[in-house]
Amino acid sequence: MNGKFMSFIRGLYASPFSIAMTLFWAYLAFLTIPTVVNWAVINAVFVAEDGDGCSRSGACWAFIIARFDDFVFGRYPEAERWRIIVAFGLPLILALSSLIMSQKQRGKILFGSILLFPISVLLFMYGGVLGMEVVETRLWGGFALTLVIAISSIASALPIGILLALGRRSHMPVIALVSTTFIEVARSVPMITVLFVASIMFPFFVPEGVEVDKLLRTIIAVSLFAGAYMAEVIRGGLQAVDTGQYEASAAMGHGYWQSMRFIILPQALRISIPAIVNLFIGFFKDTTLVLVIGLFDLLNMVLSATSDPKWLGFEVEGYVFAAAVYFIFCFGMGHYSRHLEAKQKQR
Amino acid sequence: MNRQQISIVVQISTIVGLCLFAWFLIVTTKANLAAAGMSSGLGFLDEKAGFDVAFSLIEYSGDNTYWRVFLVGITNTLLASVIAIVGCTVIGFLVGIALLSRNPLTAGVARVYVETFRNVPLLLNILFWYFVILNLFPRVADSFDLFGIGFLNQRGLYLPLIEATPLGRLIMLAVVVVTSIGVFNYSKRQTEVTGFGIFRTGWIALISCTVIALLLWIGVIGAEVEMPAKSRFNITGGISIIPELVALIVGLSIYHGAFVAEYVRGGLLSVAKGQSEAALSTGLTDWQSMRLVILPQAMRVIIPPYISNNLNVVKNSSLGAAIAFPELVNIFAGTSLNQTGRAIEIVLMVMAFYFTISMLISLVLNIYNKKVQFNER
Amino acid sequence: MQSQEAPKTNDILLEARNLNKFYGTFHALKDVSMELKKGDIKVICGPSGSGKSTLIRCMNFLEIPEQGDVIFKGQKVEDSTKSLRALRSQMCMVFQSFNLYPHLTILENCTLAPIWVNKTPRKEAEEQAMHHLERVKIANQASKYPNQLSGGQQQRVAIARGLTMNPEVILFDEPTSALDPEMIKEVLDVMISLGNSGQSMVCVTHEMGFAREVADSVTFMAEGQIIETGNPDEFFTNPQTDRAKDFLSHVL
Ligand SMILES: Nc1ncnc2c1ncn2[C@@H]1O[C@H](COP(=O)(O)OP(=O)(O)O)[C@@H](O)[C@H]1O
Ligand SMILES: [Mg+2]
Repeated sequence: MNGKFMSFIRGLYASPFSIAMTLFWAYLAFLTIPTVVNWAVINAVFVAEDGDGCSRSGACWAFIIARFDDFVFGRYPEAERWRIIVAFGLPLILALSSLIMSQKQRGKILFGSILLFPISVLLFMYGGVLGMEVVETRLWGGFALTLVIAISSIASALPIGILLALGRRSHMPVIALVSTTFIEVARSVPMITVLFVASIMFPFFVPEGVEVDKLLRTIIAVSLFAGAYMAEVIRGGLQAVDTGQYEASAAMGHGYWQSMRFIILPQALRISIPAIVNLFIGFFKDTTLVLVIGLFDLLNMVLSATSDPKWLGFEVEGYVFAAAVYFIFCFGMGHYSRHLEAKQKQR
Repeated sequence: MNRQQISIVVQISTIVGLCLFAWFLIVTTKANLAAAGMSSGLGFLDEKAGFDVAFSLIEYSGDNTYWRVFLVGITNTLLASVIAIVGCTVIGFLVGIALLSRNPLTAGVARVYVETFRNVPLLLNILFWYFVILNLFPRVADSFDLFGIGFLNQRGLYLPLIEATPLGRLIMLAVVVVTSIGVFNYSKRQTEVTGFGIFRTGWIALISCTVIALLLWIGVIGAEVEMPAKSRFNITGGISIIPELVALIVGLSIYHGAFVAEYVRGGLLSVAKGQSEAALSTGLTDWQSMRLVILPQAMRVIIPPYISNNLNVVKNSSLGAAIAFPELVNIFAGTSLNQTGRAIEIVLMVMAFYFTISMLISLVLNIYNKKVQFNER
Repeated sequence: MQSQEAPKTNDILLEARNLNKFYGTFHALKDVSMELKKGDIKVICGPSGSGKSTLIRCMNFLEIPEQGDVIFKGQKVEDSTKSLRALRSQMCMVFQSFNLYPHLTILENCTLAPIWVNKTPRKEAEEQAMHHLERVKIANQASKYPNQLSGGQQQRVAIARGLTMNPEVILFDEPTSALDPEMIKEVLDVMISLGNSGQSMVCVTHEMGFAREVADSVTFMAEGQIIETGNPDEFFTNPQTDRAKDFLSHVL
């Protein structure tokens, strides 16, 4: 500890250039830190009725606090918001309960909780069963919507990605060609165009009278899109599995699907987990794009709140808050993925 | 059935299934279009677009066709992407080296930069620059006067337009040819003397950038200059760089710079420690050992993810649509689509453009990988 | 689909007939033939790259020979799911690098194929697996994972895993080459006891002691061809060809 500290100090004046840098950063800190602290903390207002109660020289966190529930739940009817908590809570509890299970069961339970998620969202958030009235998806929003889109898309991208990855490695030229084409096309276009396909082109593709919910369309499109990226991640995992494993399973008499299911995929998926987490982080951030097709995810909720007549002129607070939420989640998951990767390397 | 037979059956049924699916799509789409009284095909590209775009590198007015709109979108997308690629490269290499600085403050600031911008959505980043920072700029009436040669206000940055005369162009051409030959010979000699391939490629890029900058300047000798002029409500003449473009480029450069920085750091770390010690022990300075020993080796690790990063920059430039920068998605998949209703044709054209770019970039990547493999043998 | 009846020589278990294998333009096996009777133990040796692995991998169709046939119990082996399943469920292979499944316990390694290939009920499969693990003296490690065992232990598990399919033939591809000297013996002991119990085996190995003790014949290969075949004592003391002499002088 002491040695670390000493080398930290020594680094500050190791060379003339280093001294110059130290002085530069010190000067910069002197310029900015007081301003930022004054704005964010000292002059900030945490409780106020409306924008008039906030000062212009400090941050108006009162705005964030007042609208916080909307940022989390969107425009979902207030009396029904408990349903969102239940919808997310059930899979979460299941996932957490895996922590006390053995290593072996943990994977299965985590997998189960991911599968449970869409079902529980459909049952509780959409409703229409158990005496719960239907809440249309156009009322869904906020961080809850961000999570619904991100988690459902990645969860359904997993099986799609596995099939595409196996397809791309297939010895059957047609299968390999179809999979590769899909993967490469999907990976080469921006996500925004995929959202356009879901929101504008899709209605042309289905027979008249058939209507598919816009949110569902979006999730399907993002799942297919994410499936292409997932396929490349899993393909990497498949390549990393030792060829001896393929040979041993063939020599033991397992057919293609058996050796994939019991021997190759479990290993490939485990290798891919850090990359899958990174993929999830990417798509978690990219869900912000749904504002382009008029869905109200966290970012869009915050932006629309900044034009709330009661709270005009607090864009900066809104952006800072939204950025902080994304940062906390992405940074946390990124850390976790690096931790997993390091653990895998140790083996 | 033996394996070959199974394989044939599976493949044929896949083809049949896909054909059926395509047939279903075509039939329903046709029916839907007919019901809506719309035709299909690319004929609409010859129609007059009738709307203006805020910024274009190529000649464009509302009298032009949708085809022209497509081209304007492509050039704007490429313009923003290229500048952002340069931006994120510069940022990425500086920050990447800073991440490994022996000065803990520099390394710490670089780390904070990387973590902050990697973990916040790009869209938020761009919107922030556009809506928040832009608000801090003066209105047109109170424009900043930039030393008499330009103006800066909420509508953008206005600079003199320099248009070369034929003589100026000739001078430019001559200088380009002479300097390129000079640079080429010089670096070839250098490579022969020092044997460092990277020395050549790295400096060629740097020198040619300088040369281009110089040329622009020299070109003025034989050029006509149009100064921007300020009237009460507007600024006319000169060239204007619209704030949408600036916000998009700044957002893209900062965001992707954070990723490039990590690639650079990873690449530098992949070079064995012994290498830099060996270099230093032969009397090279810090900077020389970085340039001649470490970077050339690190490049092999850095370049492949760096090339895919650049593809991502091109794709992500489509976020310009969210702040109404007139790039491809905004004016073609947005405005043009709304006016014509040709959703399928337009979205497919847009996807085809990105697909082409992507294929070109993968081609570059493959060529690079081949070359590296070849050199390693 | 159809299997041609090969001429019945009742006690020939496995036969390779004029096998030719190409990797691209490289001719890895040149017209190689070999037969194995029930209870036979054959040792194959030869310099590295001579095609030993290729030969035994062709015998269970991990590599598919371009020309020639493999005949197992009088049936010609075909490249079809059914034929391969019939072949592989009665024949097992032990690899130089063990190739245990790292994500499964020792016991699971040994029950996976019986349960899913032979459809043995789990309970029964586990009992049988424990029996085979006892045979290779490793039953007490059954709930561990492969990477918690030493190389020699892993190789013994690999043998037990093969035994769970009650194979007619076991193919060994240099089972001791990746092991430290002190572990070689424990694996060889298992192989010898298998041999003494009448198990038919084809072993690619350079362990002369093993060959002398249990092998019925030794086959020497070079450059994709069988150069000579003889009984172990003769081969080691008095090889017929210069190639073999040269090889033995390097190995012994
Ligand atoms: N998958 C393969 N592709 C190309 N060449 C191969 C392959 N497998 C083996 N070979 C070649 O075939 C020859 C015989 O290999 P192998 O049977 O493994 O030899 P041995 O086991 O006797 O050492 C070697 O020259 C090897 O390079
Ligand atoms: Mg071998």
